[in-house]
Amino acid sequence: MDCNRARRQLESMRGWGDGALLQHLRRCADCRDCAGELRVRDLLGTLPAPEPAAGFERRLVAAALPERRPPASRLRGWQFATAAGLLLAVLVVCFRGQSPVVPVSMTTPPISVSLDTPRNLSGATIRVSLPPNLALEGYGDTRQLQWRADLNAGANRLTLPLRLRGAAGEAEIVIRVEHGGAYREFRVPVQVVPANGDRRRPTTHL
Amino acid sequence: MNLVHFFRGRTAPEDRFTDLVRPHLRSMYRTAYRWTQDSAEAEDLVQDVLARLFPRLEELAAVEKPGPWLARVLYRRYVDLYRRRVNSPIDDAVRWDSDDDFFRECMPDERDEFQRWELQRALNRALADLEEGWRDVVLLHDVEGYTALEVAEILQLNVGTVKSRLHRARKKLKTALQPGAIERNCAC
Repeated sequence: MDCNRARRQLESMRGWGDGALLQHLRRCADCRDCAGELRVRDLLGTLPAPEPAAGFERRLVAAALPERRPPASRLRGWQFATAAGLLLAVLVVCFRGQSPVVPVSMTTPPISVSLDTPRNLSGATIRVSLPPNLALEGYGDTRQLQWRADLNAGANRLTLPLRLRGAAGEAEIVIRVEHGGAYREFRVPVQVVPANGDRRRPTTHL
Repeated sequence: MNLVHFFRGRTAPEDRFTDLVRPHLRSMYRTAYRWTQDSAEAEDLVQDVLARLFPRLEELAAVEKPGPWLARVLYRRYVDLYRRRVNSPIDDAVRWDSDDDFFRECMPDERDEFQRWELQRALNRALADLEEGWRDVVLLHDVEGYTALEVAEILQLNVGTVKSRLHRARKKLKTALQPGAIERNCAC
């Protein structure tokens, strides 16, 4: 057996009991050296380590994260006293177009709302409340949706696929954004019109 | 962007952080254990690193290969918390000692397995005698399976240094596995 073949067998960790290989190793110091190093690598690669205690992933992450904010009901007392002005300063209401009234009909495409903020608001809570005569496509009869989101500095587009589910007339969508204990509520007036009504569809910036 | 996309695309930072680090926690724990040789300290070290990383969520999210990046952060913290103490002239309480208790706990019954276990215990003890720079390279490359390039990145070395340390360290470890050396080193 030559050195090349011996190395190949050693590398593949096969043939340790092969007589020809052992004979070669007995007379070839280089291959013996190589075999010794491979044995060290094999032993190191399977060096045992204790398993972490049960539930360690959940425990570690929970301990490392900052405590989550208390539920909204506990915030109520200081909502009004704290820096609500923070959001007041960062979210500017600026309706585009002549009228803030968004016409909604049976055939109305989704309306867009832009949440503008000059800085990142991570973990902001957004709540959308709909009037009784409107619903969101894909959300059944749910009239209030709430979720947490990171708002990036600049415009954050929120598209509302509205669906008419009641009588025509004036209505109002309420969007509430809460961040860091401060909140801001925006009211988007909508004019629910029959299917053949006004099709103007401005984008509402908040 | 429709509402559903907006809904799904923007999760809370805590959830994003968890999603990013969770796949690497076991590897981080194992690596921390290799360095500390103590499972409780390994958990503490990983937890400490996670707490420091949470405010750096955006930086973490932008990392292409989080595994080696997290190992690097872990290593730096380990150096801060442990190695500086070891090297301190007034605190010699911390040094790298093989976790023999763990090896004792998992002593196998089978003869072949026992021989392997004995070799691995001897190897773990021999790691303590390596220079710490060599040991770091061996632990990351041969034990935890990082590539030479990744080890270089984690330890902030050039690849040539990683390879030469590996070569020298393996040579020394091989000597430690010679029959006479094992009996000398592993006397209980």
